[in-house]
Amino acid sequence: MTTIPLMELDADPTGTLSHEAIESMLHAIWDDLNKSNPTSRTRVRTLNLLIYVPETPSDEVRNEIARVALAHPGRTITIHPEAGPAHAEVTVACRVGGSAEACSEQIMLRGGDSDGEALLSLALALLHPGLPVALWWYGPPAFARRPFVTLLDAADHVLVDSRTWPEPYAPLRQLAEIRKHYMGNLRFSDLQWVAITPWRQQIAQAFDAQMVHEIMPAVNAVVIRYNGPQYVVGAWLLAGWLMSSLGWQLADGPVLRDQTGVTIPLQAAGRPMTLALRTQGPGDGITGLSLHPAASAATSFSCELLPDGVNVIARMEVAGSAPLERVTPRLRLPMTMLIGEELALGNNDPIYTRTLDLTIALAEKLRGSL
Amino acid sequence: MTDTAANPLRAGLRLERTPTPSVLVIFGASGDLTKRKLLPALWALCEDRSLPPGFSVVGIARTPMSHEQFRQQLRDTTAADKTVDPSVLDNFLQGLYYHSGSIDDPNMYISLKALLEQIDKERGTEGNRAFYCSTSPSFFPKIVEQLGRAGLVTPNATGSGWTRIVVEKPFGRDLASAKELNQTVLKVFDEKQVYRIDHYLGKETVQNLLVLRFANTIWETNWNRQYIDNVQITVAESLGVEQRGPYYEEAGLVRDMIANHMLQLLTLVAMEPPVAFDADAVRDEKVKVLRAVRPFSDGRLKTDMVRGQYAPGFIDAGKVAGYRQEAKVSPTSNTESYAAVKFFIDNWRWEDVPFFLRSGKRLPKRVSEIAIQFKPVPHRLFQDSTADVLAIRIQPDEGMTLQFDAKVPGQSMRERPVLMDFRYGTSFDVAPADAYERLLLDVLLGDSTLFARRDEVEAAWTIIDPILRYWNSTPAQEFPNYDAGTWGPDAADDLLGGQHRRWRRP
Repeated sequence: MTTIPLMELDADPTGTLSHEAIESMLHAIWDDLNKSNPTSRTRVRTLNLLIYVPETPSDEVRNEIARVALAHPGRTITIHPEAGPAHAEVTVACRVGGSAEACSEQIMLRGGDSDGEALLSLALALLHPGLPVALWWYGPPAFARRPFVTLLDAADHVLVDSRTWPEPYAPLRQLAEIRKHYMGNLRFSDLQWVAITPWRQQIAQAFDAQMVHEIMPAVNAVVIRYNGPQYVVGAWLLAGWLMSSLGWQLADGPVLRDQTGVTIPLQAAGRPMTLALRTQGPGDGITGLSLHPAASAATSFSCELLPDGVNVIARMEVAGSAPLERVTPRLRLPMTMLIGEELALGNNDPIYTRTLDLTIALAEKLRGSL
Repeated sequence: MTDTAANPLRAGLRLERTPTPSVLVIFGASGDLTKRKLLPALWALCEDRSLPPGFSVVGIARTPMSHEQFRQQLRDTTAADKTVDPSVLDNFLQGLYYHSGSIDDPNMYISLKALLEQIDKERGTEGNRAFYCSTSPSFFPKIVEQLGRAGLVTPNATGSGWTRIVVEKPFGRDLASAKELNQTVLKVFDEKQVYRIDHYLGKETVQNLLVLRFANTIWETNWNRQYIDNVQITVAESLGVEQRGPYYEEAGLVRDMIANHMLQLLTLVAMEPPVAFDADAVRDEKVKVLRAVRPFSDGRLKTDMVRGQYAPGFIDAGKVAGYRQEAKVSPTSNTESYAAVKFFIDNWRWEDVPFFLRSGKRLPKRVSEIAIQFKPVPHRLFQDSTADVLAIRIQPDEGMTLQFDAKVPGQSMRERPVLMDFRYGTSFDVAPADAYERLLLDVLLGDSTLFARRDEVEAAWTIIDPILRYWNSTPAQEFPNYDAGTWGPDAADDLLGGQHRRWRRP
């Protein structure tokens, strides 16, 4: 990676910071680049990535943003509101790919005011015309606040991360309301949903085997294990996905709580069953899933994180045969890949949409039982 | 192939496709292809989580070897790779089996059948089998016949209990032998079960040709005789024949490259839009192109093709031997190591647009490229204007470049060609998968879009046969006729005809 030295610009004494001045700085950088090495660096423009960072970004956060920006070249505008006059930092970063370097523009806007109102006008003026706008809301949500709503109007795609939510119930409800308001005209993504995709794949792949598929009518208990409070929405999403895919529904009846988690009544085609969410297993995040058929059924399935925390074992057992096991690496997608997966998908993910509806219903049932 | 009706959990999962649990049986398991390409590709698919639970491999060869020794081959291959997870590798290796025996021996197939039934029972592979012929082509008919006799071929191409067979190129050495091979294979297998593999079609950029042409509107209006002056397809290698002297002496460059890889590229450039992206629709259109290729009359056999053989020279500043000095090559060999051929496609879209295909060994660098050379503007307003070129780079550094004219800044009206580049590595930051990974996965998934169909193979040989016959009957007097490290014989330049045409330096 090559990073062109940073250029900085402060607001004038009247508090104005012109977007034209920022564009001029970028022009100057490109001019220098073209003079120094005209053929091997390419200005790549694939999207506008708006990143809202409410907290002061640490070096780690800044590095993460830089990696994402490099992996999805275009114009990245990071908005970090804080006390003090508006201030812009502009740079061009390039990564080597093939014989040329792909370069993207990175603009960091800081200051303005604590609400970010001043910076929003600047950010909106700096968007590349014609390119899609993805808004990545970094950190805990502020769905009801104005910056978020203003940026939503400019965005084609909003990325949030439920792993950063201090508590899950209110944001989920707000997300549901916002989605309803935009009526499908705006795409929403939860990076936690993408993060659990490897688990969904593991489970779906196992169900390609006829023997596993056949146990479904006999399943009467599902256990999802996870570790860490920030992953509870992930466990709910996994449950919501199974429910929506397999036609399971929430049933009347109490939610049972004990030290290891909760047990929720479900029904499938009129058959009663239970969903247990347990906080256990090695490592953090989702740690396993098992399907338990009625005692008389001869086949079972589980998919568990191994104690080493790096591999996952899928195990299928059929009476009369040795257990069939497949060990695969646990995929922990880095932030660049989580975002990349979502950006690569052009439209709303209908599976996420329908899963989210059931996840919200599940969350409401759990909240009601508190 | 799995679908969401059978498995609702797959809906919306946009990542890996996974085949049903199955066994891949490799004939020729002790050979180079298995070690260098097939096992590493399968391992890469495993690491990528694209293989199903229970997936198994049975290697077959005459060499006595235990299951464990066979597994050790992959251990050795992966030993230097620090990223390999031993638990995942061990789990994969448990599904590797070795079966020693002679391809001629009917008893070998009976014991193979027993082994496969055992694997079905132990690993849930449900009778799904793909047989991969990675042997010398002369063994293909025997393998096919014995598989049929042993009852190892079910009629199913898809669903549960499917059987498929993969045949490596060359698919015959001329039209007659290709027909004979096809007849032998199709006595036992249905065409839908046959996967004739040409690894070129597994390359990302080759597949991207279809996307470039049929997912974008900007090209379609220009993609015809009205705007395209000529098409140049170059597959250059800097290597010589290495250890393959005996094979090459028999085959020659036209059989090795033009009859398969390069005609495949030609069809992808020239085909009409298929009605759907499925195996038969795509291959129907490719066959139409091959059938429209203008046959070589006696006159054109003399004028529209150039053959060459390399003399000693230099590659990357190092001295290299000439073809006739290579190991196990005749010192008076008449085998071509270079060929350039002018094709025409007699149809509405391409009438009189020449397609120049050239390929050679010991050329300055290894590169494969398709260059679409557009016509110059009909009336030149600007003195220096040049014709536009769309260059599609297949390897290395996959991508494409559009060359067009732009005004040089300044008071005077001067133009200069400039480039717009797309590079896979730059835009996607992902290394393309090896061609064998893609193609093996397609076999297991039952997707034959990227494999050659019987009529395609026979149509290709129908085009090539006259060239082979003519060259065979008129030994080249001038061999060797190009120095290693150059772009081939001078006569290849004359082939282009017309002053405005030159070979593009890829």
